[in-house]
Amino acid sequence: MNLVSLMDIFTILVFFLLVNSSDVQQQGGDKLRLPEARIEKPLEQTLVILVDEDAIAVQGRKIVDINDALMNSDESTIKPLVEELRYLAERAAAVKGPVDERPITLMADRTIEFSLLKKIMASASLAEYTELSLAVISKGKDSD
Amino acid sequence: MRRGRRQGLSTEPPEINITAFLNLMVVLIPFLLMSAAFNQLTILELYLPAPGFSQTENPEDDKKTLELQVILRENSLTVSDKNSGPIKAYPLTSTGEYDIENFQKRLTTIKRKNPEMTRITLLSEPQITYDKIVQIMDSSRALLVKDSGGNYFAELFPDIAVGEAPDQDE
Repeated sequence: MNLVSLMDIFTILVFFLLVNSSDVQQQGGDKLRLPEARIEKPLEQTLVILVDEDAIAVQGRKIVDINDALMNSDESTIKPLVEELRYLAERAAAVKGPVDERPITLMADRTIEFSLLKKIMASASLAEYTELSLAVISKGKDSD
Repeated sequence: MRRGRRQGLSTEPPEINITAFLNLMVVLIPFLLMSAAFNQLTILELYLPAPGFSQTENPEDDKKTLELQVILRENSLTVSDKNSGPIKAYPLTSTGEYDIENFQKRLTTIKRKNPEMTRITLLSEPQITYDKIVQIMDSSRALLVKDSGGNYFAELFPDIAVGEAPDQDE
């Protein structure tokens, strides 16, 4: 049996997939559908706030339910989120020393409302994370 | 003829046993395929005001300069200047979407008049979905120019700040 061509295909495929595999995995599964935009700035490895249809998570750890976060409508920030971010900032500062700019990436489902978005931004701002990036799926400039 | 072929066969190197390698490939490929990210994730950068940042800046400096705002409402999209008031409102199109095309045309005109300006403030009503906000951000950030030599982006206003929309009647 001549398997040389099959081996060639496999070898090329493996290298292609290894090179293409990104460091940042798409988290959240079916519950998280990121919005789309025509942007080409690649995702950087930063602290990630994940907001899906029912909960807010930081670095993969669930912090608070969406409903709980929206319930206290008179508060402008989400208290557990601020506390978690402050704690993470402290811990990072203890390891790496103080830094001026603390970037954070928000991966949010496309159905969340601005009122929630505003609270998350206010919370990040209060915890002194000044650089917020919104993760989106790239449509590329050549599509439609 | 026959003799020649037989000789050729006997000089051919023996086939290597590649079963182990093949097994490895068969396992590796589905694994990598599963973990491969097929949609490229990218980021939109925002700058948040530091806590304690006040909205009221020095009024004398702001008189002449244009401070561009986009007000995003359930039923309209308004381009406005913070100091002199609304410039143009775009109602929804017949398909119920924001009129991005005309909105971008207006921004392009403004950009042409003020080429050094990069800042824009997006003001949104509380019930607007994140998807729409990102869509508007994307369209106010850069204009996609379709050209025969390939598509490229023309920069509009990439420094986007976000805020809450004022009430309708104001």
